[in-house]
Amino acid sequence: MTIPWRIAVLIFLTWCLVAQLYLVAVPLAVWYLFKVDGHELILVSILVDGYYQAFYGVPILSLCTIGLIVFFDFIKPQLLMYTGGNEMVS
Amino acid sequence: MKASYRHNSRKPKRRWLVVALVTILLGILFPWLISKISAVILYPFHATSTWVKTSDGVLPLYLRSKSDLQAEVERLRTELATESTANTSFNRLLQENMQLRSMARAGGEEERLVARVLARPDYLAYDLLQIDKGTLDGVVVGAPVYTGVDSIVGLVVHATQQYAFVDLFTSPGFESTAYIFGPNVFAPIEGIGGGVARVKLPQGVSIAEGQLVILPGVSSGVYGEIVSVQNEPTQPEQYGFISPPLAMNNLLYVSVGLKSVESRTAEEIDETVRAMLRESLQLSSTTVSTFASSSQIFIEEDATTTSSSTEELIEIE
Repeated sequence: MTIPWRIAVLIFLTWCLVAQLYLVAVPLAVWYLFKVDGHELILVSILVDGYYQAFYGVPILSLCTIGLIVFFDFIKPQLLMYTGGNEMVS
Repeated sequence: MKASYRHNSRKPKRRWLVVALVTILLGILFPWLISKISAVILYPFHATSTWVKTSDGVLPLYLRSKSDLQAEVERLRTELATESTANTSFNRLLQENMQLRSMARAGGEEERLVARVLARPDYLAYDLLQIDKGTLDGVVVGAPVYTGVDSIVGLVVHATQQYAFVDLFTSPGFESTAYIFGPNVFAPIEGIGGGVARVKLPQGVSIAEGQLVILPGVSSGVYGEIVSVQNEPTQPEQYGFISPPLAMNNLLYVSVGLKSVESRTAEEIDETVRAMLRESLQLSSTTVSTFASSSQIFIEEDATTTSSSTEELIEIE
């Protein structure tokens, strides 16, 4: 995924979170994490938590995002496949 | 080189995690600061979102109307499901009400009460029912128990204040006299258990499946119909097997007569008949003078008859 596409997806994802369209945002975030490392999602989640003033309590979105990223870092190598030409695909 | 590559490749992962946790910690320590920063950075998103939600533009209106329609569909679906449930409850109550009304009116002049069946032969010994009415409601031992209008199924054998047990006519050991429509004969009926009773008839009496059997000892006591006939020509008698028209598992309500129909012993019947005779033959409006005058008239009539007959005899001679 190219950098412009990543930025576009991040902007749309942020807007979905601000507009509270969680049914769109969550699958999009999962797909994004599957395609790329997605560490920038932590920045987005911290900003959204700040927007909703979640830091006065528990910033649940940020913590969940960190957990999701760690989980995908762990699970993605298990899902790698190799083609006949010894090329790695995911 | 390989070792250093692996070492370097792991370092950034730890770094982002540490940076993220430190940022979150700072956010928890200074929530007002991170809230203001977020509000400034996300203002374009906030404005766009507000525009979509409140603007009268073509695109927001289109998006809103679509979402509104979806919400309306959801609301109507929920309402329909609720209405459907309420309708089911209404129908159930209506049917229950009609059933109770028909059972309460079923006895005609005979007074009855309606009782719910608490336990059936599944949970009790077979051929026994438990009902939720007891002596406080007027149930007495020996009272007949009906299903529907006139199908009698058994008698109350034990009654407590709150509930009672009903022994079905199909219980082993039950004996009575039945009347069979068709051949129009009386026959002894006995319970043989398992929800079945049988009538015993001599050979030559024509009985067939479907013929109605009543218990004449109980008013309007239709018991059931013959479901099977056992007839072996070499035997002196034949049997007709009878089962109630309604399966025990279908019983939800029964009606209970308030008067006992228990059979009496010969001594009790004799005593009752004597008491009735004494009461009917007792002279209440007759005095001694009535007796005296009626005796005198009788004597005079007798004397007149005797003298006239003597004169007739003399004339003949």
